[in-house]
Amino acid sequence: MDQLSQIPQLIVTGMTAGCIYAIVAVGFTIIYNTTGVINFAQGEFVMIGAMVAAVLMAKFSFLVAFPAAVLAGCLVGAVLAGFVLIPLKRAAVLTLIIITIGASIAMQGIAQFLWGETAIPVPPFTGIPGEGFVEDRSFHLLGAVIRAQELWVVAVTALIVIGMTLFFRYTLIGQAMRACETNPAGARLVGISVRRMVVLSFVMAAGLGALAGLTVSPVFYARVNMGTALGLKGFCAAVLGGLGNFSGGIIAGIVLGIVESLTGGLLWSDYKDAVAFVILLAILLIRPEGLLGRKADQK
Amino acid sequence: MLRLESVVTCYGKIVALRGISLHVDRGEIVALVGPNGAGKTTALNTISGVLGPRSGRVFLDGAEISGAAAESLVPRGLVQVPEGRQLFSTMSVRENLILGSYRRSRAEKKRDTAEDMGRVFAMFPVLKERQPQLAGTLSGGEQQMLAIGRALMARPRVLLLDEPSMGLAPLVVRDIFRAIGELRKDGTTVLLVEQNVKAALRIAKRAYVMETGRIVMEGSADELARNPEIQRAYLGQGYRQIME
Repeated sequence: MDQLSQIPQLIVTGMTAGCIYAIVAVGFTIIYNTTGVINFAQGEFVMIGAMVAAVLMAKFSFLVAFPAAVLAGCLVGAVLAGFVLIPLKRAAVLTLIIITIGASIAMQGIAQFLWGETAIPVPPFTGIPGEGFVEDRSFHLLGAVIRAQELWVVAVTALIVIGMTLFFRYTLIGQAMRACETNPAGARLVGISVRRMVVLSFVMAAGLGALAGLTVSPVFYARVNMGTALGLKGFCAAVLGGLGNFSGGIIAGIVLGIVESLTGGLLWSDYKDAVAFVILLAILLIRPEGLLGRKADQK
Repeated sequence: MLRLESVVTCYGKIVALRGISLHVDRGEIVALVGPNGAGKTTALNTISGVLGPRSGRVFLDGAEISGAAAESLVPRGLVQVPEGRQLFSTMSVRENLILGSYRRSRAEKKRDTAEDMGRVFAMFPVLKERQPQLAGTLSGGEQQMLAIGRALMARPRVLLLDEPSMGLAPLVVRDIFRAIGELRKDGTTVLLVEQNVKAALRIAKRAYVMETGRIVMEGSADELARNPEIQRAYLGQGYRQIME
């Protein structure tokens, strides 16, 4: 019984992690929807957002640190887009995917060189200012303690989801980005610069990743190697939800976070990180198009 | 308005266009006909910037456009309805049309597409009913209409049409050719690539005949339609005389 009483708390913790997986999945989806490329450096964007915010928060107000962190993410995204674009004319999608894996390793190396390996604590958005470190506010709900920062994570995720859905459905640029994925040749013939859309998709995905990173860092700390696991789990979520499908990726991300947290807390904490991949394998065997994905009709 | 001067285009080592020269005047419908593999599509793709010419030059309104990127020619009024249509199959009919006016909407900072869309719907009423449907689920004829409609949304001054009748039922072909004929009234210049030579010569003013990467014949559409060689090769006439 003692274990069962932990369930609400485990769900809250899992939900927070799941939201981040969801945002990372959105990043995968944005780039995939425009280019057909899976960007394995997506997790590093989260790390950059978290690290830049953490480092700057020590000296400046969040008014400086947050925009700077998102901008840093966007900038790195643009540079990566440059690396992907240079060989784009001749390279196959697989080559580009491998480039993103290389970029991910490089980014982590550079980050380690710049900031070292220690985890940096980050003050919560709406904490109680006190002596030294800022204490977060917390609430009790159904036997679980919910930190204010965890509500921020959920709120930011919700905003991103709604924003991206509206962007891709109703704005001309969003539609043009979808057109690039559906039919790049057709996109060029209506006057869309596919290159520009590819750069934009990387910048957007990176900016969102950085935003996710700075939002989650007060909960999980900022660390230079945080990107790998987040990237892989976000990838699991994106595939589980059906690649290219926003709501699918979001739902899968949150479910993944909760299942992972429950498994870790109730069953075997050692295998917590393996859960995502076991689920991914199972789904790929049973339903290869993902939970909400359409059948792979055009590829 | 559109002029090609001894244009040579290659795919790797294979020469697809062996130096073709042609011109299309303002408001004209000009047909480019010939058998499979003659280089008609290559010619269109070289004009629209999908392919770059190895040598020779392409002019639009007297300005050289050889080797310009396809997307940069759309705002200059040169729009192609490509072979295979190249629709955005996972997007709705309406979204396809809206994207047709992408460059104009961007340039004019507003999405004033209602008037153009009305024009497309007047030309192809079936598209109006199909607005929310995904382009990939349309019939072949409807897809061709959408491809033409999408191109018209860019308000082209020169329209390049690649085999609009390909694989379509005769009744649909008639509708589509009637629509192309209507474009003449708006003063749109059309270069039409067709294997349906009979239909093409009926609406075109002039025509060029291509074979193995060269232009082998040119003249007014009437003249070519009466030419015995054309009749025998493409119009399915004269067989009886030969057989008898």
